[in-house]
Amino acid sequence: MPEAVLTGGKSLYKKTILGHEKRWGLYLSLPAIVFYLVFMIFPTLNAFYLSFFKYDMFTVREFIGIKNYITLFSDGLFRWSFVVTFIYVFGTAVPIVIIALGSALILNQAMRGRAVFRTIFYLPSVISLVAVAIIFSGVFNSQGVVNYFLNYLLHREQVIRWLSEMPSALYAIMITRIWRSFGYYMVIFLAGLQNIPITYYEAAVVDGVSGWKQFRYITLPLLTPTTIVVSMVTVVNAFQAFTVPFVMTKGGPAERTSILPIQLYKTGFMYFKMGKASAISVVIFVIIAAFAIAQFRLSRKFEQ
Amino acid sequence: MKTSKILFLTLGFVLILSVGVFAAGQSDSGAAEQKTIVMWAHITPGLAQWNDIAIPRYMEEHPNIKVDYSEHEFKTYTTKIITAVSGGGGPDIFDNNAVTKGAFEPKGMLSPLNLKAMGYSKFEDLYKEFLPGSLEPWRSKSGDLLGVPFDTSIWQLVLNKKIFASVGLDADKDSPKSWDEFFDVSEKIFASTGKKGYQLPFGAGFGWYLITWEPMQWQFGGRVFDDNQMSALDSEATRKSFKLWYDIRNTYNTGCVSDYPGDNPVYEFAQGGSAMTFAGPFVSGQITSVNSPDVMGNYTVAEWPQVNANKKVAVLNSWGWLINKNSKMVDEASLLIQWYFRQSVEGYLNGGGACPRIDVYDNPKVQAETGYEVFKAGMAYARPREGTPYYNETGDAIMKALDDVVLLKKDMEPVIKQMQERVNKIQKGE
Repeated sequence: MPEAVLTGGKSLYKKTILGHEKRWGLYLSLPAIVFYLVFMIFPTLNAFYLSFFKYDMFTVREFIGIKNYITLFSDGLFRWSFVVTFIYVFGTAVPIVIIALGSALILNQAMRGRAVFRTIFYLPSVISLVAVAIIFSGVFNSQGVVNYFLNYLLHREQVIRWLSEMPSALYAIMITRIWRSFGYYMVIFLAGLQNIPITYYEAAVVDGVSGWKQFRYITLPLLTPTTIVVSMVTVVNAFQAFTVPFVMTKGGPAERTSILPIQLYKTGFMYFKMGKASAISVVIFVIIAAFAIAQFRLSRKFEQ
Repeated sequence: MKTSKILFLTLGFVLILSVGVFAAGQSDSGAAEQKTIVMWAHITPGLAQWNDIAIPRYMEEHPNIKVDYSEHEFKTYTTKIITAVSGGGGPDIFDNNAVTKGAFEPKGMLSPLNLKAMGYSKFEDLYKEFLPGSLEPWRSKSGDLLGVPFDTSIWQLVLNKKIFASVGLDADKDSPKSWDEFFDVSEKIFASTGKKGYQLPFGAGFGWYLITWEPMQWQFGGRVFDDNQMSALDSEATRKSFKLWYDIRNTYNTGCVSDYPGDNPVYEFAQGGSAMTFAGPFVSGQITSVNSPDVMGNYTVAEWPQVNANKKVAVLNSWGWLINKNSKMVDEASLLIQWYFRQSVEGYLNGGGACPRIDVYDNPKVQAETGYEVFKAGMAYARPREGTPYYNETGDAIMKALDDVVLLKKDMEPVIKQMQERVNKIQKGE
């Protein structure tokens, strides 16, 4: 490098080589940044803005302050939707984490056909959501597979109308989500398990520690960061779930499975109350943001 | 240098070639400019069958007009239209129900038809071609014609003759006249054949719920809205009509089930799955499209069971063509709609619906169609459906209440009170 450049010191270097690199870095990132701003940040801010208006996409917007929020929280249907969403979220997230972890633990063992089983368990998560919902609508039909096996095992002729009665409709959409999702998180847990140094287990074996204690004192603590991430991602995804419940029940029967995303869709795209729909989206955003912040703090605490 | 020269020459050649091809393409299109009308319809078998004939024929007769016709899934169709029109786009022509037109009108989504372009100096000249009152649901508050119906039909009871015969009944003579007879017949059929006596439209959407439930409520002397467009649902008529639905599904063994997400019951009838259904003349198109040997040529139409034989009530359902306010082809769209309704006899015979034109109902071929007499007789006591600008939300509220009582077996009183309160809030725009 020329002496003159070196003599100029850091600032000259930064202005020339480093500054040049930074500018190119910015130019090349610009399309992604613009895309993010236009399709993520702007709609979020716009939804927040619209939530203070009465707006049906045709007539002039009318500023109404927080009236949309007051109307929402004083509406019994919305309050029910709020509650059923939390039931759906935690009723799916907890089993998903447990089943995904359990499957990962089993498939982390050396065994014949392990790769085949991993593929089979992962397969549901690559099937289109709509296809899964349609298939499970048939599975839970009164003449479907679930009733057939239940009657066969219990020696009876009872017909459960899974999707048109409660709480069976809620169970059906939850089971569908769990079946479809656990494979994906199983893979994440597998990666986490494989990052645990084997020397810990070898030392445990030498010390005569049982399998359960190995799991409790080695696997579980070292898997905590992965578990936190998986838990939070399943929860956040569940709050945004729409396709499976909408296709299977359309929020019925009697709006009993109308979780918040379905309420949002109906309010905005069936009733054309865009201001109110925006308010629902803000509520969902705040809930998800709260969980994301909680996850971030938990992760930092663990790292410390 | 050499490389850049080659690159420049290649690009120049490609550009000249493209321009040449484009110019050639333009010159092939002929001297007259071809206009394109974008036309949307909801998917329904009879209409689809007729439009497969009508649209190509229109383009043959009008070579300067291209009709970009497409069909759309019914459940999301209205949402699609409203979203497209609100964004300044959307089709030039689209079909919809007279009740939903009532929701479009306050939003300013519709353009009046150009009667002058159609050759009429005033509305009454067009009106003369149609049955009295049939165009009223399609007029704006200021009297403009916003749409023309291609199907205005009275819904009556459609019966499967083969299933009736299998239990020793004659569908023409033994069709149920009252609700008690309806339950007797349904139970007998279900017990003997395993086929459903009748299927309510569970899970098929609020539109199907309303068109089946509203006339029941009217039969008991009720209404959905009062004169101030507020809810009139907290009434004895509502309670009795809810009880009727409850009895069909729960009290009597009619075979009626509630598997979500349900399909429309007319489709199930066309497949031979049920002995009776509730439909208009469009049922022939549905039956033809399914082409089940158990139903084709084996059905008849009778009057809908009545609470009071001296005060009959039936529902009048109307679907028609509307013009988008964003359309730049209002004249051409008006002329296409006019051409379409002048083919209505053939439309009726091909399952495209019963256009309420005088020449249709006077036509001997139409008069020979199954159920003609019954559908026509129903016109004397049919009522158009009750509309509101908040049709979707009100419909959902009524559907929820019906599901609460009939499927979840909730106590009717608080459910009806909640429905009343909810619909009133909706009607106030809250």
